[in-house]
Amino acid sequence: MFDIFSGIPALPVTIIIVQHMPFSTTPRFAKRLSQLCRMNVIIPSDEELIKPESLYIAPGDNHLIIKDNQKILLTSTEKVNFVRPSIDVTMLSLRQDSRYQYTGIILSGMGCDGAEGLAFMKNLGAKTIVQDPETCIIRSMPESAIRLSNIDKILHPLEIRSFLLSLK
Amino acid sequence: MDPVQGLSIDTTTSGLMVVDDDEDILFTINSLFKKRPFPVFLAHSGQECLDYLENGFKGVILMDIMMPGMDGWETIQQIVNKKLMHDLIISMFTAKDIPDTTLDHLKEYVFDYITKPFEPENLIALVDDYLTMLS
Repeated sequence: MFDIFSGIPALPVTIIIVQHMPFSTTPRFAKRLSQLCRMNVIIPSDEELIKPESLYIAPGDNHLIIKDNQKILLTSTEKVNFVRPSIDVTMLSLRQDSRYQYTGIILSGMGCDGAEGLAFMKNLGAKTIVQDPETCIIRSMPESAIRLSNIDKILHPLEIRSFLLSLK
Repeated sequence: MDPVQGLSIDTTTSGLMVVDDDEDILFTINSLFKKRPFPVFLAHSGQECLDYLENGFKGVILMDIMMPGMDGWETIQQIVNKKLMHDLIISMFTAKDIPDTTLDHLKEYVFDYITKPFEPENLIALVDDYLTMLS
């Protein structure tokens, strides 16, 4: 993750990161990302309005839901795929909206969280990207996503970084 | 390699703990980090790891998965049960391509995975990154 975001400038997009981690780790993770990139890094509060050119990090032990593509809701309902926050919960909360171009990206990780969400995003017309399992220490999340839907791009982490830079 | 002398821990400073039953790994990592400006603790077992935590260790833990007795996952379960999961970043050593653990409910407590054998420069950079996160 740090390699991907290192040196990333302020981009004219909204990025939402859902990283499996405990609540206590979230502020430290956010601080590190804010040191590495120029995006406005935010740990959102419940009902916070989504702002452009911002990078939101789902707080540990909370699911992050996007309501009406405008607002962030946080919930501590049951774990999904054994985790909270769950990538699937966030992705599945998106709604079709022709004003926005979505991209869903699944990185290295354990389990299958995000596979269903990414397939859902594909059906919304999103671009879908998965970290190349050959570059992953733990392959199961990217592999689960690849099995479930037709992924647009399977990329090395540095290629994912290049993709982000292309959004400038 | 000198044995760990007691469990006197400076609780104001984040350090590095390596948890592995493999003496060679402990020696190698200790050699990599012994001149760094943070304390390094070597735990030969999950129980030693818990002992350090109960005596106030905070910082980065590099933990092997496969250990006799209490393995890495069981150790993490104990860390969670004993409410010791604070001011910590845990990275697990893993051999590449091993099957994923079935202990899915613990994976959120592992921030990262490091394959063995590891590149020393990569390990140093990783630990520095995580200690910066904790500072």
